[in-house]
Amino acid sequence: MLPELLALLWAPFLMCLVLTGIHAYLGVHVLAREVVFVDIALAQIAALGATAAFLLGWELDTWESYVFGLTATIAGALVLALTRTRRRRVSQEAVIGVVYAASSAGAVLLSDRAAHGAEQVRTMLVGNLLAVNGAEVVKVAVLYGLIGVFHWLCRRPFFLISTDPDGAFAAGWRVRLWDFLFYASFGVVVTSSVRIAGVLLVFSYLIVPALAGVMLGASIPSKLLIGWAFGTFVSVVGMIASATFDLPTGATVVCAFALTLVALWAVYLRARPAARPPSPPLAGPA
Amino acid sequence: MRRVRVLGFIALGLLAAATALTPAAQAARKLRVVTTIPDLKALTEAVGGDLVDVDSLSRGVVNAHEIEIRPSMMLKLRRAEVLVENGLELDSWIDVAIQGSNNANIIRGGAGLIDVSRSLPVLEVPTVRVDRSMGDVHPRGNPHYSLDPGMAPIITQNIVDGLARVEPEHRPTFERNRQAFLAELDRHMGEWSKMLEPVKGSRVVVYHPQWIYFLTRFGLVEAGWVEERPGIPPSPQHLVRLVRTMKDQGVKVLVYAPWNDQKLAARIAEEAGAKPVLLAQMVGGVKGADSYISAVDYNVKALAQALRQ
Repeated sequence: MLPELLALLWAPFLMCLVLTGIHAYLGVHVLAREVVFVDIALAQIAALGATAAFLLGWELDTWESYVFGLTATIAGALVLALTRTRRRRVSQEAVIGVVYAASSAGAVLLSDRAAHGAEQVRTMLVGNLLAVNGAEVVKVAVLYGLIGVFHWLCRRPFFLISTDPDGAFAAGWRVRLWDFLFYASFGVVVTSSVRIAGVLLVFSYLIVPALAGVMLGASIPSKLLIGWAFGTFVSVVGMIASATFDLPTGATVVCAFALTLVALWAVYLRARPAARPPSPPLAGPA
Repeated sequence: MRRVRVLGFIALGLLAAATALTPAAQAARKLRVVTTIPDLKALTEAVGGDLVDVDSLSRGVVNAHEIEIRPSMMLKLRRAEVLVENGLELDSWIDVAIQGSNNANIIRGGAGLIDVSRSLPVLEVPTVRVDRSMGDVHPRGNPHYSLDPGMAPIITQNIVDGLARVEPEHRPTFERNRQAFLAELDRHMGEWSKMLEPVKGSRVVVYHPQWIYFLTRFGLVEAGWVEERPGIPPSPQHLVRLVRTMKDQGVKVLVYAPWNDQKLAARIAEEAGAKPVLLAQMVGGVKGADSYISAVDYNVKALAQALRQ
Protein backbone atom coordinates (compact mmCIF):
# COMPACT_ATOMS: atom_id res chain seq x y z
CA MET A 1 0.00 0.00 0.00
CA LEU A 2 2.69 2.52 0.98
CA PRO A 3 4.70 2.70 -2.26
CA GLU A 4 1.47 2.98 -4.24
CA LEU A 5 0.20 5.71 -1.94
CA LEU A 6 3.45 7.57 -2.45
CA ALA A 7 3.17 7.18 -6.20
CA LEU A 8 -0.26 8.75 -6.04
CA LEU A 9 0.50 11.43 -3.46
CA TRP A 10 3.99 12.74 -4.26
CA ALA A 11 2.80 15.24 -6.87
CA PRO A 12 -0.10 16.55 -4.73
CA PHE A 13 2.30 16.86 -1.81
CA LEU A 14 4.83 18.88 -3.80
CA MET A 15 1.97 21.07 -4.95
CA CYS A 16 1.08 21.69 -1.31
CA LEU A 17 4.65 22.84 -0.69
CA VAL A 18 4.49 25.21 -3.64
CA LEU A 19 1.17 26.55 -2.37
CA THR A 20 2.66 27.02 1.10
CA GLY A 21 5.58 28.97 -0.30
CA ILE A 22 3.61 31.67 -2.06
CA HIS A 23 0.53 31.77 0.11
CA ALA A 24 2.25 32.03 3.48
CA TYR A 25 4.09 35.08 2.14
CA LEU A 26 0.97 36.69 0.70
CA GLY A 27 -0.87 35.88 3.92
CA VAL A 28 1.52 38.01 5.95
CA HIS A 29 0.56 40.95 3.76
CA VAL A 30 -3.12 40.13 3.94
CA LEU A 31 -3.08 39.99 7.73
CA ALA A 32 -1.14 43.23 7.94
CA ARG A 33 -3.66 44.92 5.68
CA GLU A 34 -6.49 43.40 7.69
CA VAL A 35 -8.30 42.28 4.58
CA VAL A 36 -8.50 38.60 5.40
CA PHE A 37 -11.47 37.92 3.21
CA VAL A 38 -9.93 39.45 0.14
CA ASP A 39 -8.47 36.05 -0.59
CA ILE A 40 -11.70 34.19 -0.42
CA ALA A 41 -13.41 36.92 -2.44
CA LEU A 42 -10.76 36.89 -5.16
CA ALA A 43 -10.75 33.09 -5.12
CA GLN A 44 -14.47 33.09 -5.61
CA ILE A 45 -14.18 35.65 -8.41
CA ALA A 46 -11.62 33.39 -10.07
CA ALA A 47 -14.08 30.51 -9.73
CA LEU A 48 -16.78 32.72 -11.23
CA GLY A 49 -14.55 33.52 -14.20
CA ALA A 50 -13.85 29.83 -14.74
CA THR A 51 -17.57 29.08 -14.52
CA ALA A 52 -18.29 31.73 -17.15
CA ALA A 53 -15.69 30.15 -19.41
CA PHE A 54 -17.29 26.78 -18.73
CA LEU A 55 -20.63 28.14 -19.86
CA LEU A 56 -19.06 29.15 -23.13
CA GLY A 57 -17.71 25.67 -23.63
CA TRP A 58 -14.19 25.80 -22.25
CA GLU A 59 -13.34 23.08 -19.78
CA LEU A 60 -11.44 23.81 -16.62
CA ASP A 61 -8.00 22.83 -17.87
CA THR A 62 -7.92 25.01 -21.01
CA TRP A 63 -5.99 28.25 -21.31
CA GLU A 64 -9.19 30.07 -22.25
CA SER A 65 -10.67 29.11 -18.90
CA TYR A 66 -7.55 30.37 -17.16
CA VAL A 67 -7.73 33.71 -18.98
CA PHE A 68 -11.36 34.11 -18.00
CA GLY A 69 -10.53 33.46 -14.36
CA LEU A 70 -7.59 35.82 -14.50
CA THR A 71 -9.53 38.62 -16.16
CA ALA A 72 -12.26 38.34 -13.57
CA THR A 73 -9.69 38.42 -10.76
CA ILE A 74 -7.87 41.43 -12.19
CA ALA A 75 -11.20 43.25 -12.41
CA GLY A 76 -11.83 42.31 -8.81
CA ALA A 77 -8.36 43.53 -7.90
CA LEU A 78 -9.16 46.84 -9.55
CA VAL A 79 -12.33 47.18 -7.51
CA LEU A 80 -10.47 46.45 -4.32
CA ALA A 81 -7.67 48.89 -5.08
CA LEU A 82 -10.08 51.65 -5.97
CA THR A 83 -12.27 51.17 -2.91
CA ARG A 84 -9.47 51.69 -0.46
CA THR A 85 -10.23 55.10 0.99
CA ARG A 86 -7.79 57.05 3.03
CA ARG A 87 -10.30 57.85 5.66
CA ARG A 88 -11.79 54.37 5.80
CA ARG A 89 -15.34 55.67 5.85
CA VAL A 90 -16.57 52.49 4.29
CA SER A 91 -14.88 49.42 5.70
CA GLN A 92 -13.14 47.64 2.90
CA GLU A 93 -14.10 44.36 4.51
CA ALA A 94 -17.75 45.20 3.79
CA VAL A 95 -16.95 45.71 0.12
CA ILE A 96 -15.05 42.45 0.06
CA GLY A 97 -17.94 40.65 1.70
CA VAL A 98 -20.35 41.90 -0.92
CA VAL A 99 -17.96 40.97 -3.71
CA TYR A 100 -17.65 37.45 -2.29
CA ALA A 101 -21.40 36.95 -1.95
CA ALA A 102 -22.13 38.34 -5.40
CA SER A 103 -19.52 36.24 -7.15
CA SER A 104 -20.63 33.09 -5.32
CA ALA A 105 -24.23 33.65 -6.31
CA GLY A 106 -23.13 34.58 -9.81
CA ALA A 107 -21.26 31.30 -10.10
CA VAL A 108 -24.35 29.38 -9.00
CA LEU A 109 -26.49 31.15 -11.58
CA LEU A 110 -23.98 30.59 -14.35
CA SER A 111 -23.42 26.97 -13.50
CA ASP A 112 -27.14 26.44 -13.46
CA ARG A 113 -27.06 27.35 -17.13
CA ALA A 114 -23.99 25.28 -17.85
CA ALA A 115 -23.89 21.58 -18.47
CA HIS A 116 -22.84 20.05 -15.18
CA GLY A 117 -22.73 23.10 -13.00
CA ALA A 118 -23.23 21.57 -9.57
CA GLU A 119 -20.12 19.42 -9.90
CA GLN A 120 -18.19 22.40 -11.20
CA VAL A 121 -19.16 24.49 -8.21
CA ARG A 122 -18.27 21.70 -5.81
CA THR A 123 -14.87 21.10 -7.42
CA MET A 124 -14.02 24.77 -7.16
CA LEU A 125 -14.80 24.62 -3.47
CA VAL A 126 -12.80 21.56 -2.38
CA GLY A 127 -10.37 21.38 -5.28
CA ASN A 128 -8.82 18.46 -6.99
CA LEU A 129 -5.45 17.81 -5.39
CA LEU A 130 -5.29 14.11 -6.19
CA ALA A 131 -5.50 14.77 -9.92
CA VAL A 132 -2.29 16.82 -9.95
CA ASN A 133 0.68 15.45 -11.91
CA GLY A 134 4.35 16.35 -11.98
CA ALA A 135 4.18 18.60 -15.03
CA GLU A 136 1.57 20.75 -13.39
CA VAL A 137 3.66 21.14 -10.24
CA VAL A 138 6.58 22.41 -12.32
CA LYS A 139 4.38 24.85 -14.24
CA VAL A 140 2.88 26.31 -11.10
CA ALA A 141 6.22 26.44 -9.29
CA VAL A 142 7.76 28.43 -12.14
CA LEU A 143 4.82 30.85 -12.25
CA TYR A 144 4.85 31.43 -8.52
CA GLY A 145 8.61 31.75 -8.59
CA LEU A 146 8.31 34.59 -11.08
CA ILE A 147 5.70 36.29 -8.94
CA GLY A 148 7.97 35.82 -5.94
CA VAL A 149 10.76 37.57 -7.82
CA PHE A 150 8.41 40.41 -8.70
CA HIS A 151 7.43 40.80 -5.07
CA TRP A 152 11.06 40.67 -3.98
CA LEU A 153 11.89 43.51 -6.37
CA CYS A 154 8.94 45.55 -5.13
CA ARG A 155 9.31 44.60 -1.50
CA ARG A 156 9.83 48.13 -0.20
CA PRO A 157 6.58 49.67 -1.41
CA PHE A 158 4.57 46.49 -0.85
CA PHE A 159 5.59 46.05 2.76
CA LEU A 160 5.37 49.73 3.50
CA ILE A 161 1.84 50.01 2.18
CA SER A 162 0.77 46.84 3.96
CA THR A 163 2.11 47.79 7.35
CA ASP A 164 1.87 51.58 7.33
CA PRO A 165 -0.44 52.89 4.63
CA ASP A 166 -0.65 56.41 6.04
CA GLY A 167 3.11 56.63 6.14
CA ALA A 168 3.20 55.45 2.55
CA PHE A 169 0.72 58.13 1.50
CA ALA A 170 2.76 60.70 3.36
CA ALA A 171 6.00 59.53 1.80
CA GLY A 172 4.53 60.12 -1.63
CA TRP A 173 4.09 56.55 -2.84
CA ARG A 174 1.28 56.09 -5.34
CA VAL A 175 -0.62 53.82 -3.02
CA ARG A 176 -3.52 52.99 -5.36
CA LEU A 177 -1.15 51.89 -8.11
CA TRP A 178 0.91 49.70 -5.82
CA ASP A 179 -2.30 48.32 -4.34
CA PHE A 180 -3.47 47.36 -7.78
CA LEU A 181 -0.15 45.70 -8.59
CA PHE A 182 -0.30 43.81 -5.32
CA TYR A 183 -3.86 42.61 -5.80
CA ALA A 184 -3.28 41.81 -9.46
CA SER A 185 -0.30 39.58 -8.72
CA PHE A 186 -2.25 38.17 -5.81
CA GLY A 187 -5.07 37.49 -8.27
CA VAL A 188 -2.79 35.57 -10.61
CA VAL A 189 -1.76 33.32 -7.74
CA VAL A 190 -5.28 32.81 -6.51
CA THR A 191 -6.64 32.06 -9.99
CA SER A 192 -4.10 29.31 -10.45
CA SER A 193 -4.40 27.91 -6.95
CA VAL A 194 -8.18 27.74 -6.94
CA ARG A 195 -8.32 25.41 -9.92
CA ILE A 196 -6.04 22.99 -8.17
CA ALA A 197 -6.83 23.24 -4.50
CA GLY A 198 -10.24 24.89 -4.36
CA VAL A 199 -11.42 28.00 -2.58
CA LEU A 200 -11.39 26.62 0.96
CA LEU A 201 -7.92 25.15 0.83
CA VAL A 202 -6.46 28.24 -0.80
CA PHE A 203 -7.99 30.34 1.94
CA SER A 204 -6.46 28.04 4.57
CA TYR A 205 -3.00 28.22 2.99
CA LEU A 206 -3.22 31.95 2.87
CA ILE A 207 -4.39 32.73 6.36
CA VAL A 208 -3.39 29.97 8.72
CA PRO A 209 0.40 29.77 8.25
CA ALA A 210 0.57 33.55 8.30
CA LEU A 211 -1.47 33.58 11.50
CA ALA A 212 0.98 31.16 13.06
CA GLY A 213 3.82 33.40 11.94
CA VAL A 214 2.17 36.49 13.37
CA MET A 215 1.45 34.75 16.66
CA LEU A 216 4.95 33.45 17.16
CA GLY A 217 7.20 35.79 15.21
CA ALA A 218 8.22 39.39 15.69
CA SER A 219 9.96 40.53 12.53
CA ILE A 220 8.78 39.98 8.99
CA PRO A 221 11.48 37.40 8.15
CA SER A 222 10.69 35.37 11.26
CA LYS A 223 6.96 35.52 10.53
CA LEU A 224 7.67 34.24 7.04
CA LEU A 225 9.90 31.42 8.17
CA ILE A 226 7.46 30.30 10.85
CA GLY A 227 4.63 30.49 8.34
CA TRP A 228 6.51 28.33 5.84
CA ALA A 229 7.42 25.80 8.50
CA PHE A 230 3.86 25.67 9.76
CA GLY A 231 2.40 25.30 6.27
CA THR A 232 4.81 22.51 5.43
CA PHE A 233 4.10 20.71 8.68
CA VAL A 234 0.33 20.84 8.25
CA SER A 235 0.57 19.74 4.62
CA VAL A 236 2.50 16.66 5.73
CA VAL A 237 0.08 15.91 8.56
CA GLY A 238 -2.96 16.49 6.37
CA MET A 239 -1.76 14.21 3.58
CA ILE A 240 -0.78 11.48 6.01
CA ALA A 241 -4.16 11.76 7.74
CA SER A 242 -5.96 11.58 4.41
CA ALA A 243 -3.99 8.51 3.41
CA THR A 244 -4.25 6.76 6.77
CA PHE A 245 -7.84 7.47 7.67
CA ASP A 246 -9.16 7.02 4.15
CA LEU A 247 -10.52 10.56 3.76
CA PRO A 248 -10.83 12.94 0.80
CA THR A 249 -7.57 14.86 0.66
CA GLY A 250 -8.59 18.49 0.15
CA ALA A 251 -11.09 18.59 2.96
CA THR A 252 -8.71 16.76 5.31
CA VAL A 253 -5.94 19.30 4.82
CA VAL A 254 -8.37 22.17 5.50
CA CYS A 255 -9.43 20.52 8.75
CA ALA A 256 -5.79 19.80 9.62
CA PHE A 257 -5.08 23.52 9.30
CA ALA A 258 -7.94 24.39 11.58
CA LEU A 259 -7.07 21.82 14.22
CA THR A 260 -3.36 22.65 14.24
CA LEU A 261 -4.20 26.31 14.57
CA VAL A 262 -6.43 25.62 17.54
CA ALA A 263 -3.65 23.59 19.15
CA LEU A 264 -1.16 26.36 18.45
CA TRP A 265 -3.54 28.94 19.88
CA ALA A 266 -3.89 26.94 23.10
CA VAL A 267 -0.11 26.73 23.43
CA TYR A 268 0.25 30.41 22.63
CA LEU A 269 -2.29 31.48 25.25
CA ARG A 270 -0.62 29.29 27.86
CA ALA A 271 2.90 30.41 27.04
CA ARG A 272 2.58 34.15 26.70
CA PRO A 273 3.14 36.22 29.86
CA ALA A 274 0.12 37.67 31.69
CA ALA A 275 -0.70 41.02 30.06
CA ARG A 276 -3.38 42.40 32.34
CA PRO A 277 -2.24 44.65 35.16
CA PRO A 278 -3.25 43.58 38.67
CA SER A 279 -6.71 44.89 39.59
CA PRO A 280 -6.80 47.86 41.98
CA PRO A 281 -7.34 47.01 45.63
CA LEU A 282 -10.90 47.14 46.90
CA ALA A 283 -11.82 50.39 48.59
CA GLY A 284 -11.58 49.96 52.32
CA PRO A 285 -14.31 50.98 54.69
CA ALA A 286 -14.91 54.68 54.48
CA MET B 1 -68.19 56.61 -33.61
CA ARG B 2 -67.79 55.53 -37.22
CA ARG B 3 -64.05 55.12 -36.77
CA VAL B 4 -64.58 52.82 -33.81
CA ARG B 5 -66.97 50.66 -35.81
CA VAL B 6 -64.49 50.37 -38.65
CA LEU B 7 -61.74 49.42 -36.25
CA GLY B 8 -64.09 46.91 -34.65
CA PHE B 9 -64.76 45.24 -38.00
CA ILE B 10 -61.09 45.11 -38.81
CA ALA B 11 -60.38 43.50 -35.46
CA LEU B 12 -63.11 40.94 -36.00
CA GLY B 13 -61.77 40.26 -39.45
CA LEU B 14 -58.30 39.65 -38.13
CA LEU B 15 -59.67 37.38 -35.43
CA ALA B 16 -61.63 35.40 -38.00
CA ALA B 17 -58.56 35.08 -40.17
CA ALA B 18 -56.50 33.92 -37.23
CA THR B 19 -59.12 31.36 -36.25
CA ALA B 20 -59.33 30.18 -39.85
CA LEU B 21 -55.62 29.48 -39.88
CA THR B 22 -55.58 27.40 -36.72
CA PRO B 23 -58.09 24.63 -37.35
CA ALA B 24 -55.24 22.38 -38.45
CA ALA B 25 -53.51 22.85 -35.12
CA GLN B 26 -56.79 22.47 -33.25
CA ALA B 27 -57.60 19.18 -34.86
CA ALA B 28 -54.13 17.67 -34.22
CA ARG B 29 -53.73 18.87 -30.62
CA LYS B 30 -50.79 17.07 -29.17
CA LEU B 31 -50.61 15.47 -25.78
CA ARG B 32 -48.35 17.51 -23.54
CA VAL B 33 -45.76 15.20 -22.04
CA VAL B 34 -42.91 16.05 -19.71
CA THR B 35 -40.10 13.63 -18.93
CA THR B 36 -37.44 13.85 -16.24
CA ILE B 37 -34.49 12.70 -18.36
CA PRO B 38 -33.76 12.98 -22.10
CA ASP B 39 -33.66 9.20 -22.64
CA LEU B 40 -37.31 9.02 -21.70
CA LYS B 41 -38.08 11.95 -23.99
CA ALA B 42 -36.51 10.08 -26.89
CA LEU B 43 -38.42 6.89 -26.12
CA THR B 44 -41.71 8.72 -25.58
CA GLU B 45 -41.33 10.44 -28.93
CA ALA B 46 -40.60 7.07 -30.53
CA VAL B 47 -43.84 5.70 -29.09
CA GLY B 48 -46.03 8.80 -29.40
CA GLY B 49 -44.87 10.17 -32.74
CA ASP B 50 -47.00 13.07 -33.91
CA LEU B 51 -49.49 12.66 -31.12
CA VAL B 52 -47.19 13.94 -28.39
CA ASP B 53 -45.26 17.07 -27.64
CA VAL B 54 -42.48 16.05 -25.29
CA ASP B 55 -40.18 18.13 -23.11
CA SER B 56 -37.32 16.89 -20.95
CA LEU B 57 -36.54 18.61 -17.66
CA SER B 58 -32.84 17.78 -17.77
CA ARG B 59 -30.14 17.55 -20.39
CA GLY B 60 -27.95 14.64 -21.30
CA VAL B 61 -24.76 15.95 -19.74
CA VAL B 62 -25.94 16.49 -16.19
CA ASN B 63 -25.73 14.41 -13.04
CA ALA B 64 -29.27 13.09 -13.02
CA HIS B 65 -29.30 12.48 -9.26
CA GLU B 66 -29.32 16.12 -8.30
CA ILE B 67 -31.16 18.56 -10.48
CA GLU B 68 -31.97 22.06 -9.29
CA ILE B 69 -35.64 22.84 -9.67
CA ARG B 70 -36.19 25.94 -11.72
CA PRO B 71 -39.37 28.01 -12.08
CA SER B 72 -39.59 27.06 -15.77
CA MET B 73 -39.79 23.40 -14.76
CA MET B 74 -42.72 24.05 -12.46
CA LEU B 75 -44.42 25.90 -15.29
CA LYS B 76 -43.94 22.99 -17.65
CA LEU B 77 -45.22 20.57 -15.03
CA ARG B 78 -48.27 22.67 -14.38
CA ARG B 79 -49.27 22.44 -18.04
CA ALA B 80 -48.31 18.79 -18.44
CA GLU B 81 -50.88 16.11 -19.04
CA VAL B 82 -48.41 13.29 -18.63
CA LEU B 83 -45.18 12.99 -16.65
CA VAL B 84 -42.77 10.19 -17.48
CA GLU B 85 -40.26 9.41 -14.76
CA ASN B 86 -37.37 6.99 -14.42
CA GLY B 87 -38.25 5.82 -10.93
CA LEU B 88 -36.01 3.84 -8.55
CA GLU B 89 -35.34 7.16 -6.82
CA LEU B 90 -33.14 8.56 -9.57
CA ASP B 91 -35.51 11.46 -10.08
CA SER B 92 -36.78 11.96 -6.55
CA TRP B 93 -35.82 15.60 -7.06
CA ILE B 94 -39.00 15.89 -9.12
CA ASP B 95 -41.29 15.32 -6.14
CA VAL B 96 -40.98 18.85 -4.82
CA ALA B 97 -41.73 20.26 -8.27
CA ILE B 98 -44.73 17.98 -8.68
CA GLN B 99 -46.20 19.21 -5.42
CA GLY B 100 -45.52 22.79 -6.38
CA SER B 101 -47.12 22.39 -9.79
CA ASN B 102 -50.55 21.66 -8.31
CA ASN B 103 -51.38 19.49 -11.29
CA ALA B 104 -53.84 16.70 -10.48
CA ASN B 105 -52.76 14.69 -13.53
CA ILE B 106 -49.25 14.05 -12.36
CA ILE B 107 -49.38 13.69 -8.59
CA ARG B 108 -48.72 10.22 -7.12
CA GLY B 109 -51.60 8.07 -8.19
CA GLY B 110 -52.61 10.49 -10.91
CA ALA B 111 -53.59 9.12 -14.28
CA GLY B 112 -50.84 11.01 -16.05
CA LEU B 113 -47.85 9.78 -14.02
CA ILE B 114 -45.82 7.05 -15.72
CA ASP B 115 -43.06 5.30 -13.82
CA VAL B 116 -41.22 3.35 -16.50
CA SER B 117 -39.38 1.15 -14.01
CA ARG B 118 -42.48 -0.96 -13.43
CA SER B 119 -41.71 -4.68 -13.83
CA LEU B 120 -38.16 -3.88 -14.80
CA PRO B 121 -35.50 -6.44 -13.80
CA VAL B 122 -33.47 -4.24 -11.46
CA LEU B 123 -29.76 -4.85 -10.88
CA GLU B 124 -27.74 -4.25 -7.72
CA VAL B 125 -30.63 -4.23 -5.31
CA PRO B 126 -28.92 -3.82 -1.94
CA THR B 127 -29.26 -6.77 0.39
CA VAL B 128 -28.22 -4.91 3.53
CA ARG B 129 -29.79 -1.87 5.13
CA VAL B 130 -28.81 1.29 3.33
CA ASP B 131 -28.42 4.62 5.08
CA ARG B 132 -26.91 8.05 4.50
CA SER B 133 -23.45 6.96 5.66
CA MET B 134 -23.02 5.15 2.36
CA GLY B 135 -23.34 8.25 0.23
CA ASP B 136 -26.35 8.48 -2.00
CA VAL B 137 -26.46 4.79 -2.84
CA HIS B 138 -29.80 3.88 -4.30
CA PRO B 139 -31.84 1.88 -1.83
CA ARG B 140 -34.04 0.34 -4.49
CA GLY B 141 -31.30 -0.81 -6.84
CA ASN B 142 -29.30 0.76 -9.64
CA PRO B 143 -31.54 3.20 -11.48
CA HIS B 144 -29.32 3.83 -14.51
CA TYR B 145 -31.05 1.48 -16.92
CA SER B 146 -32.48 3.81 -19.52
CA LEU B 147 -29.69 3.67 -22.09
CA ASP B 148 -29.46 -0.13 -22.05
CA PRO B 149 -31.14 -1.02 -25.37
CA GLY B 150 -32.34 -4.32 -23.90
CA MET B 151 -34.55 -2.39 -21.51
CA ALA B 152 -36.25 -0.47 -24.30
CA PRO B 153 -39.07 -3.02 -24.76
CA ILE B 154 -40.15 -2.75 -21.11
CA ILE B 155 -39.72 1.01 -20.93
CA THR B 156 -41.69 1.60 -24.12
CA GLN B 157 -44.40 -0.82 -23.01
CA ASN B 158 -44.82 1.17 -19.81
CA ILE B 159 -44.97 4.38 -21.82
CA VAL B 160 -47.59 2.90 -24.18
CA ASP B 161 -49.71 1.74 -21.25
CA GLY B 162 -49.39 5.11 -19.56
CA LEU B 163 -50.21 7.16 -22.63
CA ALA B 164 -53.12 4.86 -23.42
CA ARG B 165 -54.53 5.48 -19.95
CA VAL B 166 -54.85 9.13 -20.86
CA GLU B 167 -55.79 8.72 -24.54
CA PRO B 168 -57.19 5.21 -24.97
CA GLU B 169 -58.36 5.88 -28.53
CA HIS B 170 -54.75 6.15 -29.67
CA ARG B 171 -53.50 2.91 -28.19
CA PRO B 172 -53.26 1.11 -31.56
CA THR B 173 -51.11 3.93 -32.94
CA PHE B 174 -48.82 3.88 -29.91
CA GLU B 175 -48.44 0.12 -30.21
CA ARG B 176 -47.62 0.40 -33.93
CA ASN B 177 -45.02 3.08 -33.29
CA ARG B 178 -43.50 1.00 -30.53
CA GLN B 179 -43.19 -2.06 -32.76
CA ALA B 180 -41.58 -0.02 -35.52
CA PHE B 181 -39.08 1.49 -33.12
CA LEU B 182 -38.21 -1.84 -31.50
CA ALA B 183 -37.76 -3.40 -34.93
CA GLU B 184 -35.24 -0.74 -35.87
CA LEU B 185 -33.52 -1.11 -32.52
CA ASP B 186 -33.30 -4.87 -33.06
CA ARG B 187 -31.54 -4.37 -36.37
CA HIS B 188 -28.95 -2.22 -34.67
CA MET B 189 -28.62 -4.65 -31.76
CA GLY B 190 -27.35 -7.21 -34.23
CA GLU B 191 -24.60 -4.87 -35.39
CA TRP B 192 -23.74 -3.78 -31.88
CA SER B 193 -23.44 -7.30 -30.56
CA LYS B 194 -21.15 -8.16 -33.45
CA MET B 195 -18.95 -5.14 -32.70
CA LEU B 196 -18.47 -6.06 -29.07
CA GLU B 197 -18.33 -9.85 -29.56
CA PRO B 198 -14.53 -9.97 -29.92
CA VAL B 199 -14.03 -8.19 -26.60
CA LYS B 200 -16.71 -10.00 -24.63
CA GLY B 201 -15.69 -10.60 -21.05
CA SER B 202 -13.35 -7.59 -20.94
CA ARG B 203 -13.10 -5.84 -17.63
CA VAL B 204 -13.83 -2.15 -17.42
CA VAL B 205 -13.62 0.35 -14.57
CA VAL B 206 -16.26 3.06 -14.33
CA TYR B 207 -16.17 6.46 -12.69
CA HIS B 208 -19.63 6.31 -11.18
CA PRO B 209 -21.60 3.04 -11.12
CA GLN B 210 -24.13 4.03 -13.75
CA TRP B 211 -23.08 1.67 -16.53
CA ILE B 212 -23.88 -1.76 -15.15
CA TYR B 213 -26.94 -2.43 -17.34
CA PHE B 214 -25.17 -1.39 -20.52
CA LEU B 215 -22.01 -3.35 -19.73
CA THR B 216 -23.89 -6.50 -18.71
CA ARG B 217 -26.02 -6.33 -21.85
CA PHE B 218 -22.93 -6.61 -24.01
CA GLY B 219 -21.06 -9.14 -21.91
CA LEU B 220 -18.56 -6.74 -20.35
CA VAL B 221 -17.57 -6.82 -16.69
CA GLU B 222 -17.51 -3.87 -14.31
CA ALA B 223 -14.30 -4.28 -12.31
CA GLY B 224 -14.62 -1.34 -9.95
CA TRP B 225 -15.58 2.30 -9.65
CA VAL B 226 -13.83 5.54 -8.80
CA GLU B 227 -16.51 7.24 -6.76
CA GLU B 228 -16.87 4.47 -4.22
CA ARG B 229 -19.64 6.38 -2.52
CA PRO B 230 -21.32 8.26 -5.32
CA GLY B 231 -21.37 11.95 -4.54
CA ILE B 232 -18.41 11.89 -2.17
CA PRO B 233 -14.86 12.38 -3.57
CA PRO B 234 -12.63 9.28 -3.46
CA SER B 235 -9.91 8.88 -0.82
CA PRO B 236 -6.26 8.08 -1.62
CA GLN B 237 -6.56 4.54 -0.25
CA HIS B 238 -9.52 3.79 -2.44
CA LEU B 239 -7.69 5.07 -5.50
CA VAL B 240 -4.63 2.98 -4.69
CA ARG B 241 -6.78 -0.14 -4.35
CA LEU B 242 -8.52 0.69 -7.61
CA VAL B 243 -5.28 1.18 -9.51
CA ARG B 244 -3.98 -2.07 -8.09
CA THR B 245 -7.14 -3.87 -9.22
CA MET B 246 -6.83 -2.35 -12.67
CA LYS B 247 -3.24 -3.51 -13.01
CA ASP B 248 -3.92 -6.99 -11.62
CA GLN B 249 -6.95 -7.62 -13.78
CA GLY B 250 -5.62 -6.00 -16.94
CA VAL B 251 -8.28 -3.31 -17.07
CA LYS B 252 -7.58 -1.13 -20.08
CA VAL B 253 -10.55 1.23 -20.03
CA LEU B 254 -11.96 3.72 -17.53
CA VAL B 255 -15.46 4.83 -18.49
CA TYR B 256 -16.64 8.24 -17.40
CA ALA B 257 -19.59 10.58 -18.06
CA PRO B 258 -19.55 14.29 -18.97
CA TRP B 259 -20.26 15.35 -15.41
CA ASN B 260 -17.44 13.33 -13.90
CA ASP B 261 -14.04 14.76 -13.04
CA GLN B 262 -12.19 14.25 -16.30
CA LYS B 263 -8.88 15.29 -14.79
CA LEU B 264 -9.05 12.70 -12.04
CA ALA B 265 -10.20 10.04 -14.48
CA ALA B 266 -7.19 10.80 -16.69
CA ARG B 267 -4.83 10.68 -13.70
CA ILE B 268 -6.09 7.30 -12.52
CA ALA B 269 -6.04 5.85 -16.00
CA GLU B 270 -2.50 7.09 -16.51
CA GLU B 271 -1.40 5.55 -13.22
CA ALA B 272 -2.99 2.20 -14.13
CA GLY B 273 -1.90 2.12 -17.76
CA ALA B 274 -5.46 2.40 -19.03
CA LYS B 275 -7.41 4.77 -21.24
CA PRO B 276 -10.15 7.13 -20.08
CA VAL B 277 -13.19 6.82 -22.35
CA LEU B 278 -16.01 9.36 -22.35
CA LEU B 279 -19.39 7.78 -23.01
CA ALA B 280 -22.86 9.26 -23.45
CA GLN B 281 -24.62 8.56 -20.17
CA MET B 282 -27.91 9.75 -21.63
CA VAL B 283 -29.24 10.95 -24.96
CA GLY B 284 -27.45 14.20 -25.74
CA GLY B 285 -24.61 13.40 -23.36
CA VAL B 286 -21.95 13.83 -26.00
CA LYS B 287 -21.88 15.35 -29.48
CA GLY B 288 -23.29 12.92 -31.98
CA ALA B 289 -25.52 11.16 -29.47
CA ASP B 290 -28.67 13.13 -30.06
CA SER B 291 -31.12 10.29 -30.49
CA TYR B 292 -31.61 7.07 -28.55
CA ILE B 293 -30.10 4.88 -31.23
CA SER B 294 -27.22 7.22 -32.00
CA ALA B 295 -26.40 7.48 -28.30
CA VAL B 296 -26.18 3.71 -27.86
CA ASP B 297 -24.33 3.51 -31.16
CA TYR B 298 -21.79 6.06 -29.95
CA ASN B 299 -21.22 4.17 -26.73
CA VAL B 300 -20.83 0.81 -28.42
CA LYS B 301 -18.40 2.16 -31.00
CA ALA B 302 -16.34 4.06 -28.43
CA LEU B 303 -16.07 1.03 -26.17
CA ALA B 304 -15.32 -1.36 -29.01
CA GLN B 305 -12.56 0.87 -30.30
CA ALA B 306 -10.99 1.37 -26.86
CA LEU B 307 -11.16 -2.29 -25.91
CA ARG B 308 -9.80 -3.60 -29.16
CA GLN B 309 -6.51 -1.76 -28.75
